Amino acid sequence: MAQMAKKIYIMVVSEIPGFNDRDLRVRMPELNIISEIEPVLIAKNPPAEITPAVWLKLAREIYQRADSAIGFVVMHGVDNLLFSACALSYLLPNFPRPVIFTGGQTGNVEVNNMETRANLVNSIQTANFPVAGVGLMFGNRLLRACQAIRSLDEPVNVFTAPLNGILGRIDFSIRLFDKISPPAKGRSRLYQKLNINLAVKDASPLLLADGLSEADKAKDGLIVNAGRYRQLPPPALDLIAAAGNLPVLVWSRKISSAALAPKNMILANHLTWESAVTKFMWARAQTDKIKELKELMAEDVAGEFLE
Amino acid sequence: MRFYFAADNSAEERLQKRFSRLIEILSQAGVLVMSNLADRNLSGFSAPELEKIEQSGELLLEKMDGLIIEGTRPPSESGYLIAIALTHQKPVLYLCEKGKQINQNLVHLQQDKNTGKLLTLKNYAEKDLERVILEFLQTIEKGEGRQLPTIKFTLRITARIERYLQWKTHNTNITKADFLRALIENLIDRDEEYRKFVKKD
Repeated sequence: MAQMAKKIYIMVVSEIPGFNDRDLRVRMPELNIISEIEPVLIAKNPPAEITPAVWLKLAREIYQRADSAIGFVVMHGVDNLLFSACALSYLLPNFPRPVIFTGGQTGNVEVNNMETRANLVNSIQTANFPVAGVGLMFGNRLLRACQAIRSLDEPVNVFTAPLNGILGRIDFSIRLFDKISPPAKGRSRLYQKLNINLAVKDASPLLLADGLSEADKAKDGLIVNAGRYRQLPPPALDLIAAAGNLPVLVWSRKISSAALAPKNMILANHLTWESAVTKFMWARAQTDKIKELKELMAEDVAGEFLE
Repeated sequence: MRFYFAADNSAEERLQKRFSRLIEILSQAGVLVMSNLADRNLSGFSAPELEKIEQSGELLLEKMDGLIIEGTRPPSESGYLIAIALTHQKPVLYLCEKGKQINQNLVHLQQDKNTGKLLTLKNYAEKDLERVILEFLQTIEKGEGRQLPTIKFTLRITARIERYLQWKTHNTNITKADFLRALIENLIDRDEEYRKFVKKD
């Protein structure tokens, strides 16, 4: 890799009301004393409308700038942020620079909001550190993106994570913990495919009553959200069996074993929901063989497995 | 009043002595000082307070009334600390001994119409250090360095007080909070004892 220039790219993914990416350095001149920054506009969609096409573009734009960057900050509204950040974790394995997602509490990022501004300052400072991987910076914590979940009762720490997913804290300065990854030694890759031809089912008696439709059978895979169950309900097992050779990802943090499950079922019980969905999209884009799919889903790609 | 003071903790002894002097001046002026220098980092907070702040997601610098940096040998995080302090509308005093040039990025920041109101850059001679600091404190107290009341303060009141505040501010342009702030400012101006305490500075 060529010698690094001291530059941090701010990838603007969500619309920022009353704010233009070109104005960032003027509106927040204090950013220039931390590092040289360069805003890059990726999309102006409201965050709830950010789709896999934007994730792929974002990954590509980041990968292309790796040599001239010391880090990346991604400005993104809270809605869909976890999906976007998890997707980036899988699309850019072994990426040698920090990619820090941040934004504001509201659906849209508002640059005039003090918390959003502080999150941005903290993210830029974090992106200066020689670390790697995709993280979230909100409030006073840095979290591993693919272990984070939405926090319902903490207004400023918008996301939370198990202890192992907390990579740093801010007191007066930013303190990164030892578990944060140093720049990876493995080969950095850019994946440019995600399989979006998947159906998502909720494993509730009501929603599974209709079984598998013809449209579902035409998909490349199913994802069953069984998050509330310790044991899969019979309609869910019937659905998996009816799927035949179609791979079915069952997500539940409480089901402990898939030993007696049909062979087309893949159990994701050590991943967050967003991480499970995006990892399946990534893995399913690489293979249609169940055995390989199971291997890919079992592989630690981005430190995503929860203890 | 709480201040965060940052300086290069690996600077030569001559500067270390000056940092200690600076902390002493602030302490004598009634300021609670927290600093990146040994043992003072979190000294102004109790363990439950720290736990509460950590849980809430707030930053400790939000709890400060201002930031002072001795930048003769700039500490590595000075840019970050200034940026986060300005983001939270906190006044910043950046000190540099006479003869040393202040970073041009900071000079540009001081010329900005918004951040310039909060950022004070000063070259000082050792004999002037006390005066420079006390002038800065007075500027903050007069409100010139802080355009907005930024310290959050939760106050529980009785129904009677609530009713009075409602009656007093109804059909005026004044909010209840503005009314209370004005009352307190008035009290400060008339408090002889406090004025003597401040003048001791």
